[in-house]
Amino acid sequence: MNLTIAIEREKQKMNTKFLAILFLAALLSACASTPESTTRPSDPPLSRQATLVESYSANEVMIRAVGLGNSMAEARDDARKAAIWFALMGGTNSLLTNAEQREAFRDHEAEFWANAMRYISHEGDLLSRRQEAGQDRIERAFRVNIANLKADLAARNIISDSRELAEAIANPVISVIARNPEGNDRHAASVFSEYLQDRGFEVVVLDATQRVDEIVQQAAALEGNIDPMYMLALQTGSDIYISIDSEVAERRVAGNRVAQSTVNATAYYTATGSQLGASSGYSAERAIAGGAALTGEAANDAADKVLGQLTRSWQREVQRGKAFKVVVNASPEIGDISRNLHQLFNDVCNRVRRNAAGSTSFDYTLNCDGPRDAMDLLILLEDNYIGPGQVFRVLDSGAFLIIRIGDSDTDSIIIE
Amino acid sequence: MSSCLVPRSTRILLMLILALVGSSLTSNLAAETRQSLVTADATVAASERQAVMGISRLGLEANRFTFPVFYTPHEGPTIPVGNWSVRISQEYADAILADNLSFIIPARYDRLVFENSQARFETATQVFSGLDVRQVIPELSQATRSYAEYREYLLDHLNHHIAPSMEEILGAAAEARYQEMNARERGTFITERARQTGMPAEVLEALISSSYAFGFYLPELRGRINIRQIERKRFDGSTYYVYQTTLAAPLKTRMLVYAFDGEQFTTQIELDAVPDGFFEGLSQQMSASASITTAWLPRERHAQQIFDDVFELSFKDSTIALSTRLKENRAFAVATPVIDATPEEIGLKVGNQEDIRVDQPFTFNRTIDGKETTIGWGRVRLAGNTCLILPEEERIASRAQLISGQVDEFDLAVEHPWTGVYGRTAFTQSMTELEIDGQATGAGNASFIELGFISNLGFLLNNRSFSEIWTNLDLGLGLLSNGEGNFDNLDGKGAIRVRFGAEKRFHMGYGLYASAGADLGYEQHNYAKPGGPSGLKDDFKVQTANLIPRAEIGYYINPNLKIYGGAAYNLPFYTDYEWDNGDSMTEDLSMMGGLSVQAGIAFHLGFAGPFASMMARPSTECEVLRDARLEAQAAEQAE
Repeated sequence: MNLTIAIEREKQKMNTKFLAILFLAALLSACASTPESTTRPSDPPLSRQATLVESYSANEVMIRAVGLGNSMAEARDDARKAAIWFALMGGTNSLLTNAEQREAFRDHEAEFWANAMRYISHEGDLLSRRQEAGQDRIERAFRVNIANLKADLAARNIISDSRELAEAIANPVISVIARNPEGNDRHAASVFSEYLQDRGFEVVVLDATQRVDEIVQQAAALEGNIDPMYMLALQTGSDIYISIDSEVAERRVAGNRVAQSTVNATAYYTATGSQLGASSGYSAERAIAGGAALTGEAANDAADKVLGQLTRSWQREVQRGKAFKVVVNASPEIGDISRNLHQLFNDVCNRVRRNAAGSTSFDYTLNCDGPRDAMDLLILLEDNYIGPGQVFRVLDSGAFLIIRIGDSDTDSIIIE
Repeated sequence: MSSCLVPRSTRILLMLILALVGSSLTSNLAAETRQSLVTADATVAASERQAVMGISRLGLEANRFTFPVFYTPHEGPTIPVGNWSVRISQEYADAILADNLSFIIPARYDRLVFENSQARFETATQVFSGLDVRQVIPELSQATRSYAEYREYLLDHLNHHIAPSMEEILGAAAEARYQEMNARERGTFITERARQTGMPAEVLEALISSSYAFGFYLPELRGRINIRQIERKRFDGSTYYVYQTTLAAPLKTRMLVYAFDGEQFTTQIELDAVPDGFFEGLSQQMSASASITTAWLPRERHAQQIFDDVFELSFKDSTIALSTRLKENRAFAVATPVIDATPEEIGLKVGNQEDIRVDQPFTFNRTIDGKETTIGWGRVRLAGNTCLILPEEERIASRAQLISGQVDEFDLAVEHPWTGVYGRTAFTQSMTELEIDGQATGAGNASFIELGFISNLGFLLNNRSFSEIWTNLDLGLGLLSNGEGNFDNLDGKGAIRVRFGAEKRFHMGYGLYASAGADLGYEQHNYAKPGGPSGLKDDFKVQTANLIPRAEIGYYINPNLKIYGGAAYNLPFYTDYEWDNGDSMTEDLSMMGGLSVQAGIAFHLGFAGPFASMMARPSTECEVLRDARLEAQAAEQAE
């Protein structure tokens, strides 16, 4: 009986050992056959290799990105994250432009990586596939939806919403001015307009042939800037203006017309006339009929670059206060008011620059925190002016104000 | 002269695109163009159609060939009896070339045809005809030349008469060809938002500066004519003689590949249909032999008829060999990324447009640590319908089965150069036994060394119903065991066996397969035993016809080499026997059925050889469909 029990126990032990070995073997086999997953969906990308292919539209950019992983699935996910990483931090027009934003992003990044697909609007075919040191490495082109990314970043207060920015310093108006409305410039200007509107700016599309008011010409001339586009921008009251010109170069190759478009864009502060960004966009050289599509391609390229510069400058602008160009005409009979004016501007604005001045004409650039537009500024000036005569409005337009100081209101002014 | 060029995006084009795209992504990407950023690099890039012109004149070293003639009288020694000559006309040679050109230039290429002062360019979706070449292309000379002379003559002709108009002709079709390219731009502003093809200038420049011209040359033939006198018996027992005349003259056709670089043609590749090794030689000999049997002793004029038969089949075999060798050059092999890695249903976006046949092998390559490495291979089970004239959503990808190794999504599947024919050699031990008057003798166990050919019918016939059905032809030479016991004076001598059959293979992964099949075999066993016509120990032979059901297990070391072993059962269903001098035997002899076991090795052959005549022509389905659609479009426009 004891012997039987002992045998039974031995059998049980054997069975247990057998099962344990079987389980171990199965485990080892599973480990051997399944690539070890080292990343979680919420982890940041292993790869930081990506490049901008093109700006596809105002809201989307195409990015070619490298993905790394222990399997193709991991590498594919990693490539998506790398594309998003590039949009956020990698390129010259990255969404996170400073250390503060990046620091803020760190608190939320897991959410962004885990929801990478939310920001991918299109995945292209695989463009490369390698194995390096046992790791899968792929390359793929993605269309990343920048608008979605921005909205989510803004919702988490990582970046400021462009609309909020606009509200903070009055709604900025940007003039997009086509140098040659007969050519492809107008088409390029439309592309810029689309970009600007999608990014929350108020846009006016003009062409350089529009008539400029004489008084504006006089005011502009005071500073010595007689660029018709500058004057147009002043007249329109835009805070910023972008001048656009484009060119389509073509040649024939084996009976086929090939053409390449170049779009040049320069952005200026209207108030100061100073340049805040400039770039050229190029299309690929293509065998194609017409030039509109190529100009569109080049304009996309230029717009993305310039708007990146513009956005960064605009953010700096918030810190300084809104810029105004103020031209003052003083009646000769009230004497020299240059000191009074200077004091006035220093009292109501936090940054004052005198551009040009004669005995009765003065050209100033002011950065002021309070006023949202030239009318607000006018009221401030009227309220705070101490000196001979009174402040009279001649013209106010966005960031451009012309006033006259004298004893009586009159429409005519003479700018020296 | 009429020469036809068949384009497909050229090697230079491919190289350019790969070079543009090949570099890895780093922050320093200034040199990369937009085109290069949106197209695949060499690790996953599908091959492109190339532009090829097939020169439809077969260069000849000679138009009269002389063969030594040997005569073997019945039961007499072979003796040389002089030389016979045959002629080949240029027209006949050109016609045979034109008939077989589709094996080398199938629908995977775009074709350019020059005729007089015009050219025609056929892409997969368009035909551009009436292209003015601004000069009358002179006809190629019919003069016979040495190979070197012909190569230079052809090159000179191409550079003087074809090259000056090539750029313009290639330019006329460039847009259509770009739209058929795998590497065209997708998903970008220009293609999606502007809805333009927008062929990049760099691609256009590559398209107009790259194409090929294929030339063919036939060196002087060497062979021999054998006339054998054969004795035959009438029903009344009387004898008469017939004469079997055999000509064996393999064609060692040469192929010249000239590359156009945008300015001129240069000789790039030279191939020849010369067998590599004994088995390929034997295989080529089999397609290059023809015979006729006559009741009279043939004369020299009869040789011409045999020669014409030999020429046709041997030329076909040589074009199959050249086409296979051409695919060894990567620029002419089809490559495509794997779109579905399910081992039994691997998806490949190639098919009839690329002349992909049933059971075509593909290797699966992956770039590992910078080096392209083959990680597995498989065979196409369903050749897809990939005609480019069809809308993309109507095209059907090929489905392949993994045979060995592994495959993953986006590994690069590369067409493996293949004829579908293998040579093989095996050792066979057959446990059959001779019975005399119902008594087992112990004699008859045969040990064979077999040489044979085996071919894949699915591939040869390009028919899915025959997928993995293999047909074989084997010749065995062996030794027989002696009699035992009461028959210990029965001597087993030599044995010969010929068998022809078929088998179906079932692949099990890891390179292993099992097959089941059956052969019809003829065996002749030679023995000696006392009591013969001489009263002493005389030789006699036993001839049997056998049905041989068999099963086999094999292992592919690679797509070109396998080892195998199997078992079979010989079922004799007809037996005949007689003394060697023709006298009948008084005993009742029969062969008992018996098991046989076999082990062997098989290796791929570059010639279809005995199976060349069975090789189906490349599919013209896509061309027919294209022409029908273009005709319909033209009719619509006319209305």
